[in-house]
This record gives sequence, structure tokens and C-alpha cells, in this order.
Amino acid sequence: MTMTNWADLFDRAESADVDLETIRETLESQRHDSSADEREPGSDGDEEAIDDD
Amino acid sequence: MTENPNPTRVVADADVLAADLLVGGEARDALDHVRRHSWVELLASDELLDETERLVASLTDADLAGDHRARLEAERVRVEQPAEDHPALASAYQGDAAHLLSYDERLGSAKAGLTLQPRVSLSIRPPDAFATLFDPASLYKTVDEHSGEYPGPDRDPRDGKSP
Repeated sequence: MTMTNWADLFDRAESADVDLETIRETLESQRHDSSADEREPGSDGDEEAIDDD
Repeated sequence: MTENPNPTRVVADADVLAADLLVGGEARDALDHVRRHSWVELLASDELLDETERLVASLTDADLAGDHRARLEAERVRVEQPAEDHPALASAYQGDAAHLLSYDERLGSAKAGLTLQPRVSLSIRPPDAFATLFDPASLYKTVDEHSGEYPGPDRDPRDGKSP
């Protein structure tokens, strides 16, 4: 298996038009989403369990 | 914070790892210092690599993100961390790293949320500050196995191999 070296990775990444601000915003959003996911397991749809009769 | 961290251990937050790949500039300058020296260790937990791969994939594509992760996996020193902790902070504290590179200025106060409270002092800096202050000659002397003067870089930062 051939490992991609850093020079190749940087070459391939050059076509991506990404700046630092976008990276920061995307990471913030990603972290916000994952912490929201951790807080909410099973919180949606709990009401259906009451619907018994 | 009573124990001394290891000055040759470095952690880069997901934003710095992604900026190294996608932007270059100061993030790449900082990580080139690490890549040029086999005795400077880049620490990362699986959680930090997961976060970085997700970030790069959302900004580019899954192939590039996967290859970037594979390269990081090959070069990092793996550390374990509590799953719920901040990946970069936890990697640094779990691995007794002296340096954490991040663009997140709030990270210093985030350590209060860690599962295991830090025992070592940690320098949290943006990559430009790290790149400016990095002094390989004095750092070289802190490694027990090293004797004599700093011989210069011992790795090619673009392919990870020793010359």
C-alpha cells in the first residue's frame, strides 16, 4: 500500500478554495452539532410511549 | 499543574491540521517544524483524527480527507482520551504535551470541562506564535538520547522520510 506523501496532499488541496475563517466556522458548527447530538438521545418521540390507550 | 510536560510533544487542533492542508501559511510553517524533526512528536487521539477528517471532508471531499487522515495516522503518536472531552485538549493533557496549536482563543478556559483535570502546564498558542518561537537547537538538548550540537533537520517535511 502506498501512502500519500505531504507534497501530493498539498497539491490536491490547492484546488480547494478554503480560507481560515471557513475552517473555523465549519469546525464550530461541527462541534455544536455533535454536542447537540450527545444531549438529545431519545428526546424526540418520547411522547409516543405515552400513547397507550 | 505540578509535573513538567514534554517539550518535544506537540498537539495541533483540528483547525490547524485542516489549515495546514488547505490553506498553508503559518499552520504549515508550524507543522513543518514538527515534520522536519523525527524527535518532535505530533500527538493525536483517534477522536482528534475523526474530527479533523470530518472537517476536511465537509470542506473538500472524502478521498482527500481519508488520505490526509492516513498520513496523520502514520506520523502521529496515538494517545487515548475520554470520549466526551475536547479532542485536542485531551490529546495534549493525556500525552503530557507541552504545546497545543490552535486558532481557538477560548481553548485555555475550556480545560475546566475535561474529565481528568490537567496535571501539567500546557502552552496554547496559534501556529504563527509557535513557528516564531520554535527553537530546535535548544529543544534538541532536552532529549536524553541527544548529545552534542543540534545537527539540523533530519526529515524531509514533504515525504516524512529521513534523508
